[in-house]
Formats: sequence, C-alpha cells, structure tokens
Amino acid sequence: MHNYLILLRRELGCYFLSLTGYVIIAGALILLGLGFAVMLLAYNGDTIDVPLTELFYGTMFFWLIVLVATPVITMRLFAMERATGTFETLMTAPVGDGQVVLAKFTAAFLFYLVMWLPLASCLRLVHHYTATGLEFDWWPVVSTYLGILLIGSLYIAIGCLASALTRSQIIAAMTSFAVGVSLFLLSFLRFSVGQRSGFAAQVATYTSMFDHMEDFVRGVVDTRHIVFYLTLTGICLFLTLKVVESRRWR
Amino acid sequence: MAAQDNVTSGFSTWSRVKIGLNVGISIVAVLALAAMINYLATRHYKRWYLGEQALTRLSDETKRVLAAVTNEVHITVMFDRNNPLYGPVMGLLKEYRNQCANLVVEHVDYKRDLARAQTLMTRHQLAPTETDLVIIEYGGRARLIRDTELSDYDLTGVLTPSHEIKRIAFKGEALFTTAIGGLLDQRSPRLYYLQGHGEHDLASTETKFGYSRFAQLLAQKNIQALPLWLSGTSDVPEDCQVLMIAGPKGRISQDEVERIGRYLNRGGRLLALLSLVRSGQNDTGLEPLLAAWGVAVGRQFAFDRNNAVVGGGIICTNFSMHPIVKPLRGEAIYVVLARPVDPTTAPGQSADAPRAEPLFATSTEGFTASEISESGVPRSNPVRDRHGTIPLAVAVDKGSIRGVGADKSATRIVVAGESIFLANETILKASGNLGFANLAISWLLDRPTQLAGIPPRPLREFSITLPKTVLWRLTWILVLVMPGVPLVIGLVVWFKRRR
Repeated sequence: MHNYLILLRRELGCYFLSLTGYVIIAGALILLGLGFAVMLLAYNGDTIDVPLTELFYGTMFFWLIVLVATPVITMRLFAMERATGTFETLMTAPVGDGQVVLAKFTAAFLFYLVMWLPLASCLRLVHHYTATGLEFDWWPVVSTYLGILLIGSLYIAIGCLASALTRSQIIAAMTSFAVGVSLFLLSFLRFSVGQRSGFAAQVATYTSMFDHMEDFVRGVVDTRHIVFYLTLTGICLFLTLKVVESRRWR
Repeated sequence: MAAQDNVTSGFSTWSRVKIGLNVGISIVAVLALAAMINYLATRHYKRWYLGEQALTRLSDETKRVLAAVTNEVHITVMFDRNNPLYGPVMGLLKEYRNQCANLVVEHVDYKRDLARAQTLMTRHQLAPTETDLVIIEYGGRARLIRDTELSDYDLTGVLTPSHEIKRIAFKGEALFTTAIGGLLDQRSPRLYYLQGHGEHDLASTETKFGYSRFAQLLAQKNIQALPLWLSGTSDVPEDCQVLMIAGPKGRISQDEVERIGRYLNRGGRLLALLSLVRSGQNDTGLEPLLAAWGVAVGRQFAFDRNNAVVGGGIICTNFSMHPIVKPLRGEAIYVVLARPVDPTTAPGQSADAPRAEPLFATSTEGFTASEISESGVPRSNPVRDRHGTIPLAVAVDKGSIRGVGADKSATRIVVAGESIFLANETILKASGNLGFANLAISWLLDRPTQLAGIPPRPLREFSITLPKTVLWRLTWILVLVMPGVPLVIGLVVWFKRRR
C-alpha cells in the first residue's frame, strides 16, 4: 500500500506540477463552457420541458470532452516512461506490476475527476439563471457525476492499455481515441437494432452509452450500467497488467 | 562461451508456449467471468430514482400489469421527434421496457420513415391526418392512443392576449397501462348500438351516412361493438358499457325509452347523436328522457354567421373546458344542420343531481332557424328561435367527483345535435371530428378499472428568458473566466518550478 501511495503521488505530481495538466483542464472547461453557452443561445426565449442542465449530456461538447480528454490524459502513462527509459528503472524497483498499473490508473482517474469538478458550478450557475424559482436538485448532479466517472474509468483504462502497448505517446493517444470513438458509436446501434426484439437489440441497448447517461442525468442509478462499466474497466486494467508483465517473459 | 550464449537466450520455446498459454487462458477466463457478471446483472438489477426524478418511477399498478406480460407486446411510437410529447412518451416507455423484457418499443418518425409509416397506416386503417399516436399490439389485437389523449391542459391562458394553452400533466402511464392491461385481459369493453329506427350502420362503408370509420375507431380502442334491438322484451344488457344511438330516423317507442332510462339510472353510459335531418325534422322520442337528465334538445337548426360553410355546415371552434373537448383547443369540428343542445341544469341543486355542461357551440354570431326553405335559406321564427352562442353538444355526469375518474355507478351521457359529422366522409373533414369521437368514447368508458387509478404526472416547464446583457455575461463567465482560472494556476506553478 505504501509503495502504491508513493507511486500515486509521483503520478499525480506529473499532472499537477506541470503546465500540461492545467492546459488539459482549461481545454476541457472551454468545451464545457461552449456547450452551455451554445445551449443558452439556442434556447433563450423558448420554453423546454427538461432543465437545460439535463440537455448538456446530449450535446457533442460533452462527448468531445470524454473522447478527447481521456487519451490526452493517459497517453503519457506508460509510453513516456518507455520512451525516456524510466520504465525499466520503475520495473526493477521493489514494487509489483499491479501496483504500478493501479497507481497510474488511479492518478489519471483522479485527474479526470478534478477536470470535471467545475461542471457542478456550471450546472448551478446555469440553473440559477434558467430555472428561476425552482429548487436546485443536487441528486441528479450526484448521479450525473457517477455516470461521468464510470464512463471515465472505462476510457482511462482503455488509455492505460493503449499507452502500455507502445512507446509513442501519439500512437497511444490515437489508439485510445479510436477505441473510445468505436465504443461511443456503438450507442447509435440502439436507434436501429435496439428497437427490435432479440439478443442483438438487448446488447445494443445494454451497451448504449447514450442510454446510460440519459438515466444518470435524470437521477436514475441502474446497477446494470455500473456493472457494465466496472467490468470493462477491470478487463482493460487486467490486459494492461498482462502487457506490463509481458516484458518478463519476452 | 557456448554456456554464456545459453544463458542470454532467455526463456526456452516450451516455456514461452507455456507462459503464452497461461496468459491466454487467464484472459479468456477474465472475459468469460465479465460476460457472466454482465449476464447476471441484466437479469437481476436494481434502479434507484434520486431526487425529483422519483416522478419517473412506475406505479405499483403498472408493475403489476407488466408482470403479467408473458408474450411479446409491441409498442410503436409513431411520433414526430419535434412533438413536445415525444420525450415524455419515450422516457416513460423506456421505464416500461426496463420493467418488462417482453416489451418491444419501436419509434417511427412518420416524417422521415415514410414507408414504415405507410405500412402502419394501412395495417391500422388510419387516415393520412392520423399521426402522432402510440400503437400497442398484443396477440393480433391493437390499441391506439392519440397524442390528444395524453395530456391535461391548463386553459386559463386562453383569456390572456397570448391565448396560450399549457400542458400541465402527462397521462401516458394511465393510458398505456390500461391499454396493455386491456389487451392482456382479452375481454373488450362492449359498446351496444341501437338498431331498428334507421340508425347509422357501423358496417356501412357508404361515404355520406356509413359509420365504418367510426367502427374502426372502436376497434382501435379495443372496444367490441354489438347491435342492440330493444323492440322485443330485451333490456339493455348488463355488460353494456356504452350505449350508442346514432342518428335514428324513426321514433323510438316509449317502451324502449323507458328501458334506456332504467339503464341510465343504474349507471349507464349513453352516446346520443340526434340529427334533425335524419329524423325528418321530427323528435326521436329520446328528448323527454334527455330533458330529465338536464339536456334540452331543440327542434331547430343551428347556424353561425362567422363560421358558416356552404350547405348549412358550421366550423365549430368554440370549445368549453370539459375534459372531452379540452384537448381539441386549436382544432375544429365540422357539423351540418345541427340541432341546438342546451344544458338545463339549474344552479344550486343537490350534489348528486346530473351536471350538464356544454361541449362545443357556435360563435356569438350563431342563431337558430325553425325552418329552411327549399333553396336552403334558414327561416327564423322570432318566437321559437334565438341568436347568440348556440351549444351543439352537451355532456352529463352524475355521481362522480369532478376531476377524479368516474365511479362505477356514475351515469354519463354525451348528446350531440348531429350525427352525420361522425359518418365516413365527414369524420375526416375537420381534425376535431375524429378527435371528438375518440375523446367522447374514452370519457364515457372512464371507470376505475379502466384508468387503473394512476394519476397524471405533472409536466415541468423551463422558460429561458435571459436579457442580452445577462446572456453575454454568462457566456463570458463560462467560456473565458472558468477556463482561465486553471490556466492561471498552471502558469503560476510552471513559473515557480522554473525558478
């Protein structure tokens, strides 16, 4: 545990003691702000039946943050260590492979969480101006965060795996982005296959991230969504561990 | 030297194969485990509803009905995506689907998927104007729910300059659950239509007077329509949920009227469509009975100077606040040579007395005429005829509490001074005719068992009316100030570490 915490601190330092980390957060916040600003401009003067804060997840800005930020956050995790030669030093240190993988994943995940924290103030701010007289309901915000974190954990785990597979940060980011986008595009299957009956329809609905986020933003927490993201995250981290271990038997 | 070479060669081929096999098996095992966990998760799951969204939770009644669904129920949402009810309908049906795996929900956007929409229209014999509806099918039977049925409205804004009519509640759950329950039950509500006096024929496809389109509407609502002759000794059957008298030509005998009266006294439901054109300007015999229930049916023709159509027709847009016609605001009902039908309920009478309310009427420029010349010109009799708003249909309710679903023993009557407006050709002439038929039947059938006691869900509305200055201030905060803060912190950290 001690080793894990030391590694975690080291990884967090890489994010928060460099300008890069803050640039990533600023970039994400620009997209976040743009998303809300575009919605405000589009709906100003209109009456809608769902709060503006619920509509944000449906915009391209939300998914752009998830799809672009996670590869950028994770691309350096293993690839940079390999490229600079510090990977071997790390691997020969008295720490387990599992601890290394978990520490890197946790650091990236915590950074991702910090990146999304301003969303709460955005939601509060927009609600203040757009839903006058109505109490701000924090519970949907809590569930929205749960959704964002679950999706983020999966994408970060994919990023970890991509980063572990190569020594080039660009290739790692591209691989992670491609896999992430493919997974995201699966959501669109729901609109065709998902409306029929049968196994394919069930799978399309079960894997639709749109559906999952729709539930989360409305304050609905479904154990199926949680299990889906946690198991996929687990698989990706397990594969990352195997890739890291592979240097021993190559 | 040879020994040194052996040491640097690493794992033997066999060891590599063994490790590879080991890793391969462990990966397959982990994937299989994940698949199993997900499979179990889909079968045994829990949904929590946090905060105000508890409103999206299904009622126990709906859960009970859905638990009884053992075969596939196909629900087609034939809605335009821009319809304000599209979101609530799809959201609710998603909850239904989560509750019951045997539900298949399909969305057909009739504006985009023309071929599929056409197939549905042909299969369910829908008119081209009949769109924005939910079709629930089970075991070869179908139930159609139109968007006009799905909302409760607040009409207080009608009197304001904006004439705004607000949707205040969504009745989807009560209607969908009732429809699914009705389809599973296999027993359909029974509507008897009186015969023997030259009434409209529900089997006739003749355009002017045939009622086959109305019969289709009943079939879509899963209502069994049966003919009824009261000329013998038979009474109105016990299982009669609605009795319809559609445009009798001949006089209904006193004996028959008494039987109908007994039926109404025991909580019967009556749809009376009385046309003076059909009865040859004579009374039908029902008038005294209806008078006893608070409805005066005149023996004149109603006209409207403001909304006249050639041939004695009127386009009615003057609707009351009654639940039958509330959803028809903004639409029109087309009637031809209608009789005036007035509510005669006196104010201050006992609570259990019949309450008669007008449904639709002419404009303030309406008038009645006792006679019409051969050339079709109305001739008013100053003694018998009148000017002003002339009601053309009335609803009577006795024994139910206002705003609550009707009690089993509550009597309900809908009387319209016209019957041709629901005939095959005319029913499609104005958007409100079919809507009126649909809503009147729904109101007459409204019983606790039908509505399943599920209250409508209040609809939330969010008006975004930001002044330009506030809008731009907010935009700057969101796009510049918020991203600027971490950037400044980053620069400070970078600068400090550089030093």
